Amino acid sequence: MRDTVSHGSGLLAAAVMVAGLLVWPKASEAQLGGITGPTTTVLGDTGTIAAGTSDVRDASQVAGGIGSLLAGEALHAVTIGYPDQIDSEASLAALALNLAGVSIGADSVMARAFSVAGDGFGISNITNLSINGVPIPMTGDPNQAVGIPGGLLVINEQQVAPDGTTVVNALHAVVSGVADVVVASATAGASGGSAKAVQASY
Amino acid sequence: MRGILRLLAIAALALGARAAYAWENEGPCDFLTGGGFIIHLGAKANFGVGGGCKNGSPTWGHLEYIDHGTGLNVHWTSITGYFIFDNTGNDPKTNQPTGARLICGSARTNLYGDVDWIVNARDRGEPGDDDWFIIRLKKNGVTVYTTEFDADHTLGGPGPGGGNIQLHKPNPSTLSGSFGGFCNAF
Repeated sequence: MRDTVSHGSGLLAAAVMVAGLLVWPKASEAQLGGITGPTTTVLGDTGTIAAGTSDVRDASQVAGGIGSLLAGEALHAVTIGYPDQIDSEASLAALALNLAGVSIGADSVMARAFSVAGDGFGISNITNLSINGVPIPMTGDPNQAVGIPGGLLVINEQQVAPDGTTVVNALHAVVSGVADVVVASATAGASGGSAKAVQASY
Repeated sequence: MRGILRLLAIAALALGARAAYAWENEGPCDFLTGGGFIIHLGAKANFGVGGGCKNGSPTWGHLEYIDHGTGLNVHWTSITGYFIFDNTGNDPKTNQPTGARLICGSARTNLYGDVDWIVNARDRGEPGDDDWFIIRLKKNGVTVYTTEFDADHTLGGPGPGGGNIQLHKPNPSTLSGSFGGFCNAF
């Protein structure tokens, strides 16, 4: 199976650091020129654990979707807080994303973000990614951009905020004027820990 | 290789029953999480899973599972146990432990009604190609569904599946508890 695993060290991710990237959807607007639609839907959302808090939160559902925009199965999100560490993870399987006639599919999509004593890193696992049925080669590098009609798909999007918080979005697709969709998002760092299987503004 | 994997898989669940009683007081408890898919009888079976302790009890977690071959949907309703199967070291890439855990609970299904379940999930470290996921469902003590006899349970690489299993270190604070609980699907 075509499974791409991408690691991003804190230093590597820092190279793409953009001030204010922690705040959705401004992050996507800043990087991708996306839109903020009137509606935002989140599936599989853990909520946020404050940094330094010992807690574990999860969210899951056997299947989920957003109208004709997106469908997925086995949605799963977890964030674990330790006194000096945060582990966050989100995944879904059987992704079917339809953005203005562009079909993006994958057998499984996962994002993980880790923050250990202030040092963060992220990993994405994506299996059998395709656009309109055509397999997409994945480099394994953070922030691989692929053009789609009217927009952009970023694979293994990794951002580091000024406070060191790491945000990993396994897939981030934007079609201007249509939708801004993140599939599998994990956050860990000074800003806290959280995970979402899907966030879509449309 | 497939034969070895099959034997290991069978052993994994079979030994789990003994492990439950032998190790139920060992701690401190950790966490296991994961998602992806396996191939069961030629069809994709998608999963998301979590297990561990919260507030001192080994009853945190969840399970979602869809088998596209049989049409089976499984949605967890409770977590009843979390057990060590083995510990195999530490992953230098994530600085997290590696090994396998058994997670038990109850669930609602579309084919069998309410069932008991056990999952054996293994984290072999990054990149996760050799991580595995095995599931068994029991109804009134009788196995109604299992993937433990499949030839390959792995989540990528040369194997048929995809995704990742992640074992997380214990939390030494108030979350800590002991492995244990009960498992009607043993």
